[in-house]
This record gives sequence, C-alpha cells and structure tokens, in this order.
Amino acid sequence: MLLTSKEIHETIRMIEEEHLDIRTVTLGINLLDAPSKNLEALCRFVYDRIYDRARRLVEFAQEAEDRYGIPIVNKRISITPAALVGSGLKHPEEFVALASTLDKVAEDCGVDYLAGFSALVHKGATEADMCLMNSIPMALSQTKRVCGSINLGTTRTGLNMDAIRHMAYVIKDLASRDSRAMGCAKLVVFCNAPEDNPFIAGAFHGVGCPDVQLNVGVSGPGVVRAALQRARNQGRLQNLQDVAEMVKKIAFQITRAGEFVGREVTRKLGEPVKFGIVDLSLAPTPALGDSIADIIEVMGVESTGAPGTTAALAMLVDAVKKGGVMASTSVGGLSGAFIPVSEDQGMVNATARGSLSLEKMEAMTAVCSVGLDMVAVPGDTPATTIAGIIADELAIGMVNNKTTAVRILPVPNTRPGDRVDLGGLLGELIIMAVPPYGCEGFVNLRGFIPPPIHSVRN
Amino acid sequence: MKRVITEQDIEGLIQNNAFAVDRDTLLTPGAREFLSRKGIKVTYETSYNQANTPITDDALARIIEEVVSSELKAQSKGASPKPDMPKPAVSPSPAAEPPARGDAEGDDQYLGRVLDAMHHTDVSTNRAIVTVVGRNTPGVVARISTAVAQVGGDLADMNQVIVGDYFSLIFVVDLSGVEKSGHSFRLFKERLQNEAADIGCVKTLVMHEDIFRAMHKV
Repeated sequence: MLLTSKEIHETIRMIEEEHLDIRTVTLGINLLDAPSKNLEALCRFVYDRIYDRARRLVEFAQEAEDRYGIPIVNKRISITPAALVGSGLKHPEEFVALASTLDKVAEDCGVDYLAGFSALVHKGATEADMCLMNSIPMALSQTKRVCGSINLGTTRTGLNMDAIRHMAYVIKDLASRDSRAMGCAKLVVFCNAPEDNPFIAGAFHGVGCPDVQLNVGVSGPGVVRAALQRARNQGRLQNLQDVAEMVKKIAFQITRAGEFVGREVTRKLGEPVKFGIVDLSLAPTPALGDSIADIIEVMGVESTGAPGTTAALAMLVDAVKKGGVMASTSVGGLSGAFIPVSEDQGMVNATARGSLSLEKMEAMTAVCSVGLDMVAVPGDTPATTIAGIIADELAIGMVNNKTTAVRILPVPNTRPGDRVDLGGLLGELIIMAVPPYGCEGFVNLRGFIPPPIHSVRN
Repeated sequence: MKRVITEQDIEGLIQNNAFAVDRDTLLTPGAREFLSRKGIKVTYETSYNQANTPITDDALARIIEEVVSSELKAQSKGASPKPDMPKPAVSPSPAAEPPARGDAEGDDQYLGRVLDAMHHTDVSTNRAIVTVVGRNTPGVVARISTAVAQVGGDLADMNQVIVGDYFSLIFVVDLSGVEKSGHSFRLFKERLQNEAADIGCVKTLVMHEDIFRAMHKV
C-alpha cells in the first residue's frame, strides 16, 4: 500500500494548480429546545448554544488545512430553521433582533456565514413563519453573515403559491434596500429543500438531524476541467464514455478527500458532534478555470447555453454522483453540480456572449442541482413575474422529485447586459433579460398547486 | 454444560482490561483473536483456581499461540478447520497441557510475525509527505534531511527527479519522533519550509500522508 510518486504528484497538482479544495465545512446546530416565547431569553440561549458548539470550528478546520494541505475555503454554521426556534415570537421586529444575535455569534465564532434564518412553509405558513418572511428584508439587509431560505414546495405537498407570491414581494423589497441587491445573494427559496445541505445560502439544520452535525461540501470543477483538457490534448478521449469514466474517477478522489477532512474536523470537535454528510456537488468559484461552464465547453459545446449544454451537463452530474457514491456512504445535501451564474466565470462569459439565457438556465437546472442560482434580472421586473420564475423552477423540482431553488437578484436601476460586481466568492453579475410577457393573472389566483400524481406512493 | 463465548459477549464482559472465565467456558477463536488484538488479559475465576497455581501470562500466551498456530496451519494447508481443534485455554497451569511448539522453527517465526501483525492492524501510519521543488543546488538533500532530523523526524523514503536545472524531491518522513519530542505538525512544517526557502526552493509542501491514502487507496 505504498504511495507511488505519480500519486503524490497528481494530488499536489490537483491542489496547487487545479483548485481542489474543500468548499465548506458546515456545523449544523440544533436549537429546538430554545425558550421561544421570550425574545431576550431566546437570544441569550441561541447565542450561548451556538458559541459553545462552534467556537473552535474555525481553529480545528485551520489545523486540518495545515496538516493535510487542502484548503477549506469556508467555515460555516447552520441552525434549526429560525421560524421553529422562534415559534413563539409574534412580531417581525423580534425576528430582526434574532437575526442580529445570529450575526453577532457568527462574527464571534469567526465563520463566514450562518444559515438557517429559514421557514418551511410548503404546506402552509404558521404565524411565526409569516413573521419571519416579513422580517427578511430588514433582517438580511441589516446583517452581514446571516443567510435565509424558505421551502415553498415539495413533491409530496405541491407548491404553496400563496407563499411563492409573498416571497416574490419580499425579494423585491430586500433587493431595493441596496444598490447591488446584495441581500438577495443571502436568500434562497426551495422546493424539496434537503435537511443536511452544507452550502450557503440554503443550509439549515433539519429537524431530523442529531444535536450537532458536521457536513462537508467538496469542490473541484477545476480538477475535472483540467483532467478532461489534458486527456483531450493527448488524444485519450475516444468517446463520451471516456469522459464519464474520467469524471467518475476524479469525483471519487475529491469525495474521499472531503470525507476524510470532514471526519478529522469532527473528531477534533469531539462529542456530541457527529459527522453528517459529504455533499458531492461540483461548486465553482470565480477563479479562472474553476468553472462548470468551462467543463461543458471542454466537452465540446462551443459556448455554454448552446444546444448540447443540457445533455453534457446531465452526463457530468450523473458521473459525479456515481464516483462520489462509490467513495462515500455518507452522501447527502444537494449533490450534483452548481451553476450559479455570477460565481462561475465561464457562466458569466457565456451570458456576456449571449449564449446563456434565463430560459436555458431553467432547462439546465432540470438535470443538475440546484436551480436558478445567482441570477440577476432588472430591478423593475414585476413581483408577479418573479413569482412566475420561482413557480416554474420549483415545479421542475416538484415533478422530478428533486431539489430546485431560486436565488434571484432584481438589481435596482439596471437593464439587461449591465454588469454588477459583488466581490469575493459571489463574483460578477450580468443582468439577464426577462421575457416581456407577464403572468399576473395566474399568480394572483392564489392557493396551492396540488402535488403530482406520483406523490401518492404509499 | 459447556458455555460458548463469542466476540459480542466479550465486549459486555470485559472489566479493567481483563476478562474472567471459569471452568465451563469455551472461547471461540474469534474471541481469542479479539482479546489479543485489544491487549486484554484472560483471568480465571479464583473459585476454579483455588487448588491450582494461577495461570501465568506466559502460559496463556503460549496457549493462545498454539490455538492460532493450529488454525494457521489448517489454513495454509488449505484444509478446513480441524473438527478437534485444540482445546481452548481452560487449563490452569502450563504443565497440565504442555504447549506443543511448531514442528519447525519456521512456523514459530511465521507465527510471531502474524501475532505481531494482529496487534498492529488498526494502527494508522503517522507520516508526512514533503515535496520540495526548486533550482538544483548542491546540498539540498543534506540540508532538508538535517532539518527533518532536527525536529525529530525520521526519513522513511525519498524520491527525486532532476530535469535540467530543476529538481523535485519527495521525502516520506516518519512523524512519531516529532510528536515524541513535543513538536507540533505546524512547527515541523514551518521548520522545513523555512529551511527550503533559505536554500532558494520554489515550493515546499508538507502534507500528512493520510490525505493521499484517502484519495488513492480504496
């Protein structure tokens, strides 16, 4: 079982040149036992519990980075959906105060983001859910590190169109509070939201999870792209099966690295922290070459969004899953490939070239995780149209039994083609064109979209 | 009525790193192996040993070896386990059941190795992979290996590639000495990186071996 120098060089090349990293270690913390009726007691409890569990997360993650030489880009916290934690609160202002507490504890723990300012309203909203949703524009615009998500539908329950419509207005309101609509980058709406997702903004600590759980999100589009490019240059790609085979092998290695590092950090954190899952998603960054779009283009599609894109993406995602599942028995979260437009330089370029449209994005999300992610539209897009975009996307998830999501930024005072730089991992937005025809009549009908026939499975 | 003890039973019965058995106890080979792997002593209940000399550790070790060796022999000959496998350690004194040594010395040596391996199966390796890339200058290997030794590391393996003016070195360093002398991995890493930077190396990576294993070995 000695390592060969080829294996050693290969690993080092993956890390040094091809951006192999652990995208995130996310510590999920249960807060269900919080005293939810008294705001002051609640905030104190929430702060103490989170600080107690997570104060050494960053330290231990850095130790693992040092020891194993693989960067862990983000250290994050997810919590029980805040609408459940604060189920006794009666006013949106109280949720804003809770968000401030969360922001404070995230800062004190040294993590990048804290997610779980969330509500699950797929079957209907409680009073606390409504308060949380109404508090979002204020809560997310006033805090730096707090992220929120709302589950608006599931395959088993259908889509809550009332909540979708409501959230469209919330998103518009949140976007209007900042010239770059930055708050919207921290808010995502879901269909079939997973309980153990380590990725921001959609992470929350599900009610079915243990007290404390560490989830890992791996990365690695750069590694896949570089390997495919090398194979292509050397004439080793005979057919599409070869591509699938290569992707599988790389996904295996990436997943093993992720799980190994995740378990190490879990071990250091000690009881009661349990290792949760590895999320197999290929998560791009704005770094050059670390892009899903680039992989699709290396596979031979001229520009992402051109015909062939969806098929290439479907094959890529499937191969990633197959390699990852072979590597780990603890697979969960979103597990697929992310196509966040602004965070992926290749996607930004494709949008700028005009080959990638909102409609093509929607088609692509039918075969990959997670959905319309980091999509920017003009600020004057009507709320009902945004509700329609959300409903379309979530319907894909509902019918296909998969997670879909929308993270949309209606950036004020912009027109299609404008560029907005968000900085850091969030990258650069290019405003996409929205079809001129609306869906006001449909959205204003209100009510629920009943679940599809295959929801009746028992 | 003889009683059969399995591996699961043992986990429930172990106290203070010792496992008590009485006259009517039969230990399965799996149970025995489990005990020796975990370094647990088998003790015999006093009520049984009253009239006899208590079993010594040496005697017990010999008996365990005997059981294991007979099993190994059976396996190496491709034969199914003998139906009349040697009676497990219920004998209170070595004299009552003199341990039959292997026919040849080779057996004993083999056995020693196997028993040794049994005690070390779960121990993960504690080694670092150090990769240094740079322009070829005299004394690079000497300087790096001296630095390794200074912090208590032990050079386990080395591989070098020289292309033109440049070299790439891979050292495999045993870290047990580093930890014994109280140095952290971080210090070890910094020490090597400083040394390499001093010589003018372009890149020095120090990574624990486990990550390579996780990625490359199934």
